[in-house]
Amino acid sequence: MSLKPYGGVSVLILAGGRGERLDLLTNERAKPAVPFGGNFRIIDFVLSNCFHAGFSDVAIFTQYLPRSLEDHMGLGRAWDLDRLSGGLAYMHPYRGFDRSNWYGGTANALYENLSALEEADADHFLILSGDHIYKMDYNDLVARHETSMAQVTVAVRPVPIEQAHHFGIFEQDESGGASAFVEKPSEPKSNLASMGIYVVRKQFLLEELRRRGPSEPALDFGKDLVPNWVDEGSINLYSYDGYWLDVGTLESYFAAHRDLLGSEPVFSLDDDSWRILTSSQPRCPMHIGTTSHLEESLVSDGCRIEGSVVRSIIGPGVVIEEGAEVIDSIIMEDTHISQNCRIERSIIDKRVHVGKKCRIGGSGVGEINAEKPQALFCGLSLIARSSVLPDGFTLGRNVRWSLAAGDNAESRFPDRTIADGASAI
Amino acid sequence: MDHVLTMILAGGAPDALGILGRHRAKTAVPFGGRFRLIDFPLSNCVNSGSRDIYILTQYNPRSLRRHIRLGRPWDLDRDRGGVHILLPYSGAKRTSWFKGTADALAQNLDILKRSRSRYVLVLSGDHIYKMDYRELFHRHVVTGATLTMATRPMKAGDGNRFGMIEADSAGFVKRLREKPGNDFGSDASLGIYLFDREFLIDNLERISEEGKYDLLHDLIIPAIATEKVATYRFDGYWEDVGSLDSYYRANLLLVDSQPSLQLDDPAWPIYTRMENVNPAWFSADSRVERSLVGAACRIEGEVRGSVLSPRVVVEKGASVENAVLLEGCRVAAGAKVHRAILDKMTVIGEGALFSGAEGLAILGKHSILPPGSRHLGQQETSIGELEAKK
Repeated sequence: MSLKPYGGVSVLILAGGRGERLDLLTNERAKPAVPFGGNFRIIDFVLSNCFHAGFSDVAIFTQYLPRSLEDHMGLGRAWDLDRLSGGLAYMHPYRGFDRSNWYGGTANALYENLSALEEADADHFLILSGDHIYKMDYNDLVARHETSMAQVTVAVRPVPIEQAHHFGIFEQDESGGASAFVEKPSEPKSNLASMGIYVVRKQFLLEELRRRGPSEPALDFGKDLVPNWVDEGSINLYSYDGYWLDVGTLESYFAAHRDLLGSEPVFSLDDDSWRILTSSQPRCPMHIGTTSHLEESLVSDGCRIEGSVVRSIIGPGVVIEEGAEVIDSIIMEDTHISQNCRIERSIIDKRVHVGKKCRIGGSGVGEINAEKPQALFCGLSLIARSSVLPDGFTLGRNVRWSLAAGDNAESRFPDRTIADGASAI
Repeated sequence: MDHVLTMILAGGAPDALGILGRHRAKTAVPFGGRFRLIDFPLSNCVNSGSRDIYILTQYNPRSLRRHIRLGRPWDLDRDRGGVHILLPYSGAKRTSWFKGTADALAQNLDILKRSRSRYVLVLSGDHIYKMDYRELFHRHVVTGATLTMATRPMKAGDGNRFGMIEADSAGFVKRLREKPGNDFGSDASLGIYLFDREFLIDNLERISEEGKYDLLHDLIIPAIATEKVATYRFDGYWEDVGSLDSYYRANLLLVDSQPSLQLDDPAWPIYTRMENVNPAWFSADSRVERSLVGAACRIEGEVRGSVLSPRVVVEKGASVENAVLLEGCRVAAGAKVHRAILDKMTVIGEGALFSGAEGLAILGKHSILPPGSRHLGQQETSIGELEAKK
């Protein structure tokens, strides 16, 4: 016998995607497990939203590299999800007596776990993406859904019209209801984007999954269900105008970090009324040396800073030696930046060792990356987790680097230079 | 270390820590921008493989209990063993406060009797050091002693601060005297004792019947005459932050680039409970030198040679020099803090000055200094005292 979940809501978080355009950042981890804002992971935002809203019955659907997420979330203690009743459940693809399917789409992941959804003692499912950055009180959304009598409520938000082709776009009729939905339209007729946040009445969702699930192994919310629901008139829109970001590309990932900076940041991580909870281990306070210079930057615990840090976000345990300069960059956990390096507009993953006098990145856009034009096109350079840059290497813009200690970087690149748009993998 | 039961004595009132100790147990006093004193013996236990730990306390236990809770940060949240906090209780036979260190143990004699450990490690909860108790344990087993105590050579002049010992050439204790001055041995006892459990039980029972309550005077010193009492000589960093001055100095030592106490040694982690891990914000106007800065601080002014706990705010034009600021302090625009300790959640108003001058100035928890006010010179003050002066 378990308690009915708070608000009659069971939360389903979709966290199985790869996030291909984040390139090397998701080579060894799921997109929701990508570090964010120094000490956090992307998944922390939706989990913290659930915590603040009071929803404690949370199932997380994983498929791509789930261990990174499971290591981070554990039993869900950091978000108070380690519970006798409800709490955190991992929903990973599995084999059974008469089934052995990978998840072919977002709604298919739910269909493959139909029996668990049937057993849920809930009135509504709140379906979320694990890779969005925002702070939202879902109580308001659920209350509006309940009073609307609609089968489905979708949270929507205006986006700049020139970016609308990246999103699922709703068109509205005169009364404000949804009249059409197109996923990533080439010629968007509206700028009202779906936030990928759905509240669906339990019985309605189960019926839909039972009806379409068996014949559609790639069943997807955005591609298949939502357009159909719009046509049937089952959808109610919930407008939201707070901060919300889908960190789909390296460009938007980087932009989201810029939003954290400033005395009055566009998006604050340090909001006492809405703390972002995470499971990081405590470390020592950071040590700031005599030769350091810090300017408009966020620096995490356990760092040792002797060099200069400007408009950057530094993860926990990072060492920046004397004479090194880090400008407009994101440096993740336990990375070591040696003396007299200059790093500009770069994203450096965890546990990287950058040798002395290296130069990485630069201002401006430069040549687009030849191998991954979809990922590295805006001038950012990317250094993969646990890689090593020997002393004196110079890396240009839109460069990808993923060479570790035994990969003979010096003999492969005797002039120690990687030009704009090149990859060293 | 499966044969060792650990008892941490944490009941003392931090009298010499003045207003810092007024609202908390000494073991719960914050240290090094992040830790509490109890983190050191507790982390030493865990790193040494001792996972059966009792903390005996009675003075202001709430802050300590809130910090320890079920012992999870130390991985001591266990079904068997783990960490337990013992407070005085009323029972069928007797009801009394802990009247001394030996009495605290004697009142929990059933735990010692029930234990299957052969040895009992007795520690103080308020010393800062990193020690592998397995070395003490090996020394105890090898020498066949009944009691082994950790000792350490002290500076000349420290004979008035500690219990000093004289040992023979084989390292067995001949004499031990509390604060004997400088004409005695150069090694001090560190308040770290490993007993044979049977011996400890028998003697606690005996002295308790005699109405004696102090572990050192009534049990350990008499034992030197009759038992084999060995020393384990330790030469690492060890500090008893028993006074405001030593507390201040021990904190400021940490701002050196190679401090004598390394807090972030991966081979010997010091674990603690920490809720807020947000990064700290440094504005374009910030100037920070030789300092420790905690999580979620906001630095827009100058910070030099100081230790800042989490959530400290130093506003534009403010300056903090050679100071220890505990959690949540705010130094408003243009204010100056110099040679000072600010307890939790204090506010230094705009343009105010709070300085120990040549001495040390301490501001109590939740105190608010009015904008523009000046407080110069050696002093200890708190919100209550400030209001009384009005």
